[in-house]
Amino acid sequence: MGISGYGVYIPLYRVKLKEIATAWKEDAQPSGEKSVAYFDENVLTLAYNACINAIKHADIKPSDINALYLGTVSSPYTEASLAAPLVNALGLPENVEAVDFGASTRASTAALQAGLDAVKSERLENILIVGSDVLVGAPGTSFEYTAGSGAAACILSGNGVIAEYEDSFFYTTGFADKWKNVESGYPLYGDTGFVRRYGYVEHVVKAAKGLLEKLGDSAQSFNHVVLQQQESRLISEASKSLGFTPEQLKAGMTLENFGDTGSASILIGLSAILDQAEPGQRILAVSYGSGSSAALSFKVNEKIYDKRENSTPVKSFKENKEYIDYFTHLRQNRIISRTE
Amino acid sequence: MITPPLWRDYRQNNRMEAYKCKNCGFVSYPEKRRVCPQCKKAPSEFETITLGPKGRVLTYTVAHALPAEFEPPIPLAIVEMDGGGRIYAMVSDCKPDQMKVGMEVELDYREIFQEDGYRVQSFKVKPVKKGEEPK
Repeated sequence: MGISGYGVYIPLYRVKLKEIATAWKEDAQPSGEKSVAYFDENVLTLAYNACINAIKHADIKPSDINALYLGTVSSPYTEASLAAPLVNALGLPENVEAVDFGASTRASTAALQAGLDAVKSERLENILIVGSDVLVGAPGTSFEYTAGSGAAACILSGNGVIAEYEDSFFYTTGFADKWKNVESGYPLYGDTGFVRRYGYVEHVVKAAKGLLEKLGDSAQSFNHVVLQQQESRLISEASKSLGFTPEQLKAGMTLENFGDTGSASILIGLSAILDQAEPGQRILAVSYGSGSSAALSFKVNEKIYDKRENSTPVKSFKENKEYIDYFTHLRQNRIISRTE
Repeated sequence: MITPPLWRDYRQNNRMEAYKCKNCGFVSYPEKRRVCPQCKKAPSEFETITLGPKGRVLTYTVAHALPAEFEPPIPLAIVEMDGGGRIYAMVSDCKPDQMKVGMEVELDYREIFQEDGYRVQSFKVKPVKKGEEPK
């Protein structure tokens, strides 16, 4: 029981982080880039494309899917489902269970855990999980440098599995570090230094350590590790504290290419790992959001080779891109618009 | 109030549902017909199918003057879908000078417009990028 297929979708457009720094006359010239949704792309359209790629990779008929769980923190609605119209658009049967997960960047791993439980209990056979976000930072803030866009989906099944689910561990305090009011539209942060130390790092470390202890493993037991792709400094602090090497993190790192893709980031990282993982290799994925973290582990099996030719690899999205300038980025994300 | 018109054409717009004549194979989109315009059988039976995902550009134009919510210039193409059926669609991820008659395109789910804050999605087409294709 575990992942039987996966798929990613990243918008075509990228903005270089140094473009943002230049626009704000900052001295620092940060490296890296982030993905930006086009005018006509939103959480739902990105999710659709990731799901299509996952269905293709799993080599499954849409009519064999029993549920669709969608995780996002950037739904344009406080009421209105995204999972339900997505079920229709993908051509899934009308008796499919559609559930929306949200409120934290942990949403897609919450969906993943709910799906794994439903498959394990044999209530459902095949579940489509998708994480999708179009993140936009307030102009001139540090989040503007990381807020990216992307989606990733995976199919959970009892049969045709390429990565077996092993176990999970959670750590929850309710620490308040980032929130978005309906009125402001942009995320707000608590005190930066304090939030770094007691938010992301503490929660990621405790969930990961908890799972390692539960499984009787050490940091070296895992071939690949993906941590919530929120900020490079946070990832390196947490991984250093846990004793992970850059080599273990390498395959799942997507922050430098796509930015922080919110609830999609763990599934994008997991997909990038599965693109190159070998049978027998073990993967640890740790998500974080809103004072709670989740660690999940998977073991790749030999069936991964059978489906590899069906995949649209994450590498193709890293390579296939078009750069836009900062002003175009502001217009594309509707941060500024023409006065009528 | 957008609910009634949206719901009326929901299956055609949100999942590209089309109707194939069981007598001659003509694919009707978006109309659900009683009489087949090709074999003239009346009434004919139509099977519900899903268009795509790929097709070829039969002809195109480039729209420059569009309402404010669109971002011109936008190529607009008539596409012959691989499994039958013709659609008229906007072309995404493609600059006007990259357009060619006969080019291979695939369906792409995109936001078309917003009304009262509600996002309405449907299908555009985009060029099939070589190298992204499964072997």
